[in-house]
Amino acid sequence: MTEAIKSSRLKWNKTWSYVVCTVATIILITWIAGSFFKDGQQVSVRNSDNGAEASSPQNNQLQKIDLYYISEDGSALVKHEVEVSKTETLLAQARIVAEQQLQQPEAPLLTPFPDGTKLRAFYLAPNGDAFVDLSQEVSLAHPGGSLDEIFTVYSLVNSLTGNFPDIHAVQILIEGKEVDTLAGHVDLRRPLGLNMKWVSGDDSLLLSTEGL
Amino acid sequence: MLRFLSILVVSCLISTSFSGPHAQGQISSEVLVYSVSGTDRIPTFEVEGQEMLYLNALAPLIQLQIEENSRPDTLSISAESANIILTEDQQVVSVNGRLISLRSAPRIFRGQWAIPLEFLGRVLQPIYSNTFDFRSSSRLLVLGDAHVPKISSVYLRGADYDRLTLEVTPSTSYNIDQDERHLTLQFDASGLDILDFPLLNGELVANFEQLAESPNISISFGPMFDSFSISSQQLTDGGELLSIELVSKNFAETDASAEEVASLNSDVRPNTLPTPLPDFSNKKQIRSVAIDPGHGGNDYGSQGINGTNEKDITLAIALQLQQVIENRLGLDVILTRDRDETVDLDARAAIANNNKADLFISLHVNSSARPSAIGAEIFYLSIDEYSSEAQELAEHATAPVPVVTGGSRTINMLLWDVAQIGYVEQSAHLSLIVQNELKQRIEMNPQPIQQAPFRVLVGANMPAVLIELGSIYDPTEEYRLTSDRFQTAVVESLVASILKFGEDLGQWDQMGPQNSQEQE
Repeated sequence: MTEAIKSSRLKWNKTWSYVVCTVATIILITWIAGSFFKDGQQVSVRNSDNGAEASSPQNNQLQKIDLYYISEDGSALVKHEVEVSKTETLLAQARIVAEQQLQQPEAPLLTPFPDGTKLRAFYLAPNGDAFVDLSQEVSLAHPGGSLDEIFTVYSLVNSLTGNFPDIHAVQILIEGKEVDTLAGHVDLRRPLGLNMKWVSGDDSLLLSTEGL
Repeated sequence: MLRFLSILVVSCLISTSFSGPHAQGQISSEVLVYSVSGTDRIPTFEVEGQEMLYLNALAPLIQLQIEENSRPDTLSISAESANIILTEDQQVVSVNGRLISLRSAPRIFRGQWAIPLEFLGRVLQPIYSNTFDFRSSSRLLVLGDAHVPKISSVYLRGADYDRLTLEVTPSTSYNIDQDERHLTLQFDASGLDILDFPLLNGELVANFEQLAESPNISISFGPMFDSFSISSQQLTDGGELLSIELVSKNFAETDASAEEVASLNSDVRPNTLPTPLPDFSNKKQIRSVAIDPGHGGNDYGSQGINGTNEKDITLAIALQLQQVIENRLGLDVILTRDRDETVDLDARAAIANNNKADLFISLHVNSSARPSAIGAEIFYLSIDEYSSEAQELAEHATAPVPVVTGGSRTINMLLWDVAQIGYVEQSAHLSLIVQNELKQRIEMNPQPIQQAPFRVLVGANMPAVLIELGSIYDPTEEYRLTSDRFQTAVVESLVASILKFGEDLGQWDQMGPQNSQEQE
């Protein structure tokens, strides 16, 4: 009888040990996976080409960001502050800003992007380089002209590097490929950093956005 | 007391809702209507940020028949042979059963039907065709046979004379009336659609204005005004260019020859600097110049409203420049293209490098989304974007390499695709010289010299600049860019620049990377 009880207890203990080990293993795997994907930093290049990450706003929190448009006299870019939904990750947030920069603003703001320019994909490398893949309209429909091409490039570069200190430089791709230029002028073969010299510091150039 | 407070609160609410710069329904502007019977004004107002006008204010001017429907939120309008149906707060309008979308919807506002301003251009203009011309940017509506030419203006300021150029489209006859203080141009038109007024407050011209609602332009003379002359030229698009030269008293008092005065009746200023012969005694002189006509082939570059292509202007100027440099200066000229063909950007710098050109000048024509951005600009390379390459070049400026005969020689390292880094200082100096020469002959942008990471410049292994000669976006500038006189002025400026830079080069200690040096 005693042996039977001992055998039964042993069996029970073995079963209990398996359960504990299994649960512990699951918890461990979950924790490792969770920490690995927590902020995505361990992923070599993060990709947000379908905007899925951007669809998880943080409790309707808003973030103020600066976008850039062409000044009224056409000689510089001007800053325009807007509020966008705050999301959990840098990648998703940066994608929102890039998409916002491509949108047609209300007059008198004037976008440096040709009609129909779309964001195809957005990548972020661990070294802080962002790769913004735009649709071909940004090149095919570009009116040309050195200064306007500069404004097109640096409105996007500045809106990403200026709003996110962790994004150090931006390289523009077209239809998934590296390109020399948009319209024959600005060298796009390497990521470009923040450059505020194209942004007007002169208040007289600032656009009146009252009522927008 | 409670009653008083209630009245106060209600009063405040009412006054708040009807005050402020963007109050609903506040009159914001007007549409000026020209017809053969005279001028009318239709007030416009803002509703939720959209500029609207009352349909009833427009209807009698264009014989719109308005019929109320059984449904209070729809309205039928007969215009010419078309039947238009509006639905309140719907951004779609039916015209003979065809749907036309609008950015903002018609609505009933304060008991009356209001339509957005764009309704005039998108819905009514196609119906009335030639008898209805809505010009949204200038808020003009031209009806029937009323004649309202568009006028754009450019004012060039000079030391001794100024030039006011008016492009009148379509060409319209005019009379000139002058008294001691004013010059008045009286156009044979119902009104004028002046796209922009030049900003004037000078010694020669004190003011430039359209006399209230009349088809007349008045130019008020400044204290230094002496005389004027007018020349005109018909344009291919049916327009006409009026060029008004306003001569200063200073200039009139000089010993200007008759030829010099006559030459003022040109599109651009005459070359006031005599072109000296090149000084061949200097060892560090310029022997060859690479001229790069921007774009070409499938790449049209910027395009003007009248169909002018950037690639054609740059090629025309480059070919003239080649001829003048070769004939007058005896220098070799390397063209990166001499016909309408596509040439890659890196190939352009390579052509200059392989031919050992001493200068690289890339010619372009600008286009701007804002019509006010006009005038020539000169760009040289910005090296901030190439900081890693510049650092590498600084750390490895020279390197020893073995030679077949034994020993070694030291060569200067050159990062081929960023060769321009070694010449930025000289390119900046060249930019300054080109600016000084161009500004004597053509209009310059307020920011005439800029640095940018331009693809075509970065590979050039010699001083290099990219010149935007003007904005093709502006119709007057478009015409000017194609004129012989403008192109000659550019050629003369660049020839003078090459000479001046050659002189300065003799005083330059560093010529950039040398080819190679044998080491003992």
